[in-house]
Amino acid sequence: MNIQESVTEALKSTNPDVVLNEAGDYENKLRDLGIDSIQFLNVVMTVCDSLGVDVSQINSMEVSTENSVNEFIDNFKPYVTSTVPA
Amino acid sequence: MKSQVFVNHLDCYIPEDRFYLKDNLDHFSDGKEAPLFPNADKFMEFVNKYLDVDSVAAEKDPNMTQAEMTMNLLKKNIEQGNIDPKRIALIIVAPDASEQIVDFGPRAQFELNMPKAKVLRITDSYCANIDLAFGLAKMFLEDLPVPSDVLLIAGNKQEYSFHGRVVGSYGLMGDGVSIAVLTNEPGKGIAEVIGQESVTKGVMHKADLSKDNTLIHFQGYSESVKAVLGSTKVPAAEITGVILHNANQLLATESIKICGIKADKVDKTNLKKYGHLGTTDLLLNLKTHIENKTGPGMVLSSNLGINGTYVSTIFKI
Repeated sequence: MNIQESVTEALKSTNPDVVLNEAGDYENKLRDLGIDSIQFLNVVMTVCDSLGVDVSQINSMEVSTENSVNEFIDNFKPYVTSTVPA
Repeated sequence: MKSQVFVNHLDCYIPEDRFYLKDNLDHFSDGKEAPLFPNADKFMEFVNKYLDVDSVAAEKDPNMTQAEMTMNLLKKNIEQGNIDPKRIALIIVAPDASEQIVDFGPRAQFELNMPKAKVLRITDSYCANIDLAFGLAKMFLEDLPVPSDVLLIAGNKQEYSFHGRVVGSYGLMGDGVSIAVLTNEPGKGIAEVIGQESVTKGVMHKADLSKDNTLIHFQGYSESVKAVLGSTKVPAAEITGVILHNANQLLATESIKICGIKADKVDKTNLKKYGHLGTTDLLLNLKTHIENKTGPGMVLSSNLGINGTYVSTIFKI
């Protein structure tokens, strides 16, 4: 599973109201998609788990509900080995 | 050999007056002081979802300052024999905010006849100042060769308005003061201070409460809980109770869960009673938990200072 698939799945499983059908949907901020703080934490932990990333290593000053979905995906790239396609 | 350190006595004073939210909602008309809540409806939405309170404890009498409330509490406990001024080797004042009860430690030392007591003050870590005071008192007492006590003084008091009471999406401050007496004399305690670990995320020194700091708070909490479980060698399964601030506990609860502690261990007795009393919350909740205990056990407290300090302490009761 690549980062985009992992993030998309984590968002939908955490909040079924999140719709990411078109490319433009990925420009929305997580906050504006209705992801609250605890849902956000669940998404981060789910993504970390599926990608094999230690949650304590994530740059907490960059990753937040202020990220668009695309920015959120990009923020995971430094922590994923090259064998996992972005 | 280091001495064991015990909590010998705990007491609090919480005003009976209440500050009702619905009577003061015009505060949110311009959003300047509470940037997360541009209007009263948004604020009440947050309160109803995460705090579920209609009021907080608040002192109406402007002459009843935090210093006077604290002095009254100390005098009452000296009269009742709960504090022996001659045994106090150290006074640590740990208010919630840096500007609160300035110079109170020296005043207490002088007026309450504790001339040999050293006086310290802990600030800059907000609600976690009292947690750090416990750690400092433990370090001081465990190396002291003679039986002695340390007096901890905590509290929070705001003016009778919303000013200073809204802490981002974390809590709603109430008024209350408290004291603790710690000792290195075996057999006198109601709880033993087993160990403490703290984490400071200095990057939060300019805490912007209008931003989402979820992940950094989660990481800080988790690091401190894992550290104290490791350094004390107390297995997560042996934690029988958890005490947190009387505020939004969602993040702290997620953090203890990831460390292997079940969420139902959190003691919520005071959660909706008084509001978040700043540094008084730890002493109040520890006192309540000890009074309500059903048997011996290990109690974890895990608290944050809103500018990026996370402190976890384990008590044996």
